Amino acid sequence: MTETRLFTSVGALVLAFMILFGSVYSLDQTEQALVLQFGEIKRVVKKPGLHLKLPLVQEVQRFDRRLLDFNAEPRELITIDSERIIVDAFVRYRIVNPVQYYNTVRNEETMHSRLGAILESSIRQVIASVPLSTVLSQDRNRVMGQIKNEVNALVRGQNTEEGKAPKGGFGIEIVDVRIMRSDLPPENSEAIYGRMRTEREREAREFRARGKEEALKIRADADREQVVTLAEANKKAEIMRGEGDAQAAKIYNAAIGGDPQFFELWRSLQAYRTTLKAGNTTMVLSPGSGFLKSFGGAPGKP
Amino acid sequence: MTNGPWGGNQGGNGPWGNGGGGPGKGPSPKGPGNGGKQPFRPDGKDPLDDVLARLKNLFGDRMNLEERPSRAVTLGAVAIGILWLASGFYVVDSKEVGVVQRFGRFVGLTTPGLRYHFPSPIESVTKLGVLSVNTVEIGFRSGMINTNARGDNQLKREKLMLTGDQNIVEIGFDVQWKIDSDHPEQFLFNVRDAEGSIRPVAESAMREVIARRPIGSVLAKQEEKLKIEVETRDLIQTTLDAYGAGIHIEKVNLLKSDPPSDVIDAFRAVKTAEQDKETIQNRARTYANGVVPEARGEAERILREAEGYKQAVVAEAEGNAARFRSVVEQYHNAPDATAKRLYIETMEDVLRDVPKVVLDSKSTSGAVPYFPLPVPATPAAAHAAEDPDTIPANNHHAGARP
Repeated sequence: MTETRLFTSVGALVLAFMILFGSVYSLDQTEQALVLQFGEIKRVVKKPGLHLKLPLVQEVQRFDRRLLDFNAEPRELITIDSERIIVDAFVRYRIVNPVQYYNTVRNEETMHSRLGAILESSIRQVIASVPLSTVLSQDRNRVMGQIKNEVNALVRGQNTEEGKAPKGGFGIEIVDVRIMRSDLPPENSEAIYGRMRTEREREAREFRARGKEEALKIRADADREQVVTLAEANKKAEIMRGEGDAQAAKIYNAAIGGDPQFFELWRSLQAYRTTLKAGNTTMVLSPGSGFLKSFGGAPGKP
Repeated sequence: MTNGPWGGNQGGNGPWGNGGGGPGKGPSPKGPGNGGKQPFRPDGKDPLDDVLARLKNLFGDRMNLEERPSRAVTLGAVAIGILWLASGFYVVDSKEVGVVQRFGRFVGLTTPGLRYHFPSPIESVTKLGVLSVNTVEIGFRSGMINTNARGDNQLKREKLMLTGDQNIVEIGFDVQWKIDSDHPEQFLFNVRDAEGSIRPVAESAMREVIARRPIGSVLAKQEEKLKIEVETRDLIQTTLDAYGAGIHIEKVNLLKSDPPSDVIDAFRAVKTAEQDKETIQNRARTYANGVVPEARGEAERILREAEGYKQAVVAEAEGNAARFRSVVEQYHNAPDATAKRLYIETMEDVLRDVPKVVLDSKSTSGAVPYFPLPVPATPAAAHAAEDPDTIPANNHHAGARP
């Protein structure tokens, strides 16, 4: 009899434990939860801390409350001006309505696969509506905003076109869509490199040409100045020489005055002194005339 | 009294009274005091028989409810309780902050020092290093000896960015960040993998900032680089704030912004060409700096020379004129005599040293005198010596003077 009592007691204790542990649960600051009773949603719990529930019949389904991430695969897309561009985007979203989330996707894998499809189609649509230059400009932000709005409209259930999303949405909210890379396809890269090279070559040529042009100008200016300076100087020099000569002539004339004949004699005599020098002259003289007038005859009256 | 499952001699003390026997030595050889250590925690290691035995003791044998086992139980329970309570002590480092959660709910922060929290599962503390500055590198990895081809490819894609004018540049930058010390709990609770968010947000931000600019401003100037750093920093911070990530971006450093390696030669060639342009121009300037002053110097010289000539000519004229004037005076006093005197004096001086030949032309009529003239120094006379028909000019003068 004690044995039976023992086992019942044990059983009771075990049951007590199960009830105890089954009726309290803690919700972390990072979590939100649904209380389910036999699969039916009874309650949404968003406050963290200690909570109670019915043991055994109710269970807690937890969801993340934090900002979650999803990265889209890079895809090649076409812009409105027929340029090809590879876009790689990431999304940040939150579960705001766990009930809806539970009813539509229930887990992250499924969410990601639905999101992937929605994101791709939205990005494709938005990119196809702008030229490449917009993506590479100040307006890049605007493009990202557009994509975000498109995706949000779908996941919130505001836009139920083509059955992309269920009515009422997924219970999530897109907080941010960012374009990571927007690169041109590899074939274009080569073309770009080629263009970059030719542009640089052109720049280099321009530099050299301008350099030469400037240099020639500098040299020509210098040469011109040189010629002008010398010409001016020569001109002034000639004038000065002329002045000197004129003045000298004036002085000579003043000195000669009324004695041109004597001047002729005197100046000639000077000239003889300087021109008839030893070494370059041989004199052949006749007696009886000029210097040798008194030579050859007896002195006295000739 | 009763022979339980263990049989043997149990006496009135039950299993614990035996000490060495029975379950005391069984699968849980922990001694008397430890048997009661988990009154509310079914311990998988303890055999169920322990519990059963205890229950049996409590329920099955009321007469054995005496002090000793109860006291042992109580002592054990108390000891366990103390240990459990003591597990609530923890230390917060001077660089850290403690984030306290009670049953999962955020209840507050704790500052550095020795702290206490209600032991788990009631409370838990996560320590965050709010003073340390962390770095995220993008477009490069410092200290990397990576020969992994896949890693290389990824790095290559990371660092090549498109500029606003559809050119490609290589960018390498790093982001220095801290956990927001005012609200460190945001870092833990708002974003799943807040730290991991930084890299994609930063890369996206830098690409956006680069895409707004033409390649010229990305590559060249220092002030532009600063602007890029600031813009990127602000963009990353705005985005992370919108996420509520609790991260503070200290600084963005743009470490590398170069043309892609495929075209870097072409860029270097441009630099070289620019330098060449300078060199060519400098050479021209050097030339100009030589030529112009030289010309001015020459000009001066020419003028001086002319001046000198002028002065010399005038002085010579004045000298000669003065000399003449003084001679003229004498001439006027005795014209004939002065003239003759001057003539004879001059001839005397002139004829003194020159070779002379005295020839009486009257007495040699009928015969042609022939005599070789000495070879003179001057070229005109040299010509004359070769050609006997030429009569030197000297001869005329000698014969002509009256």
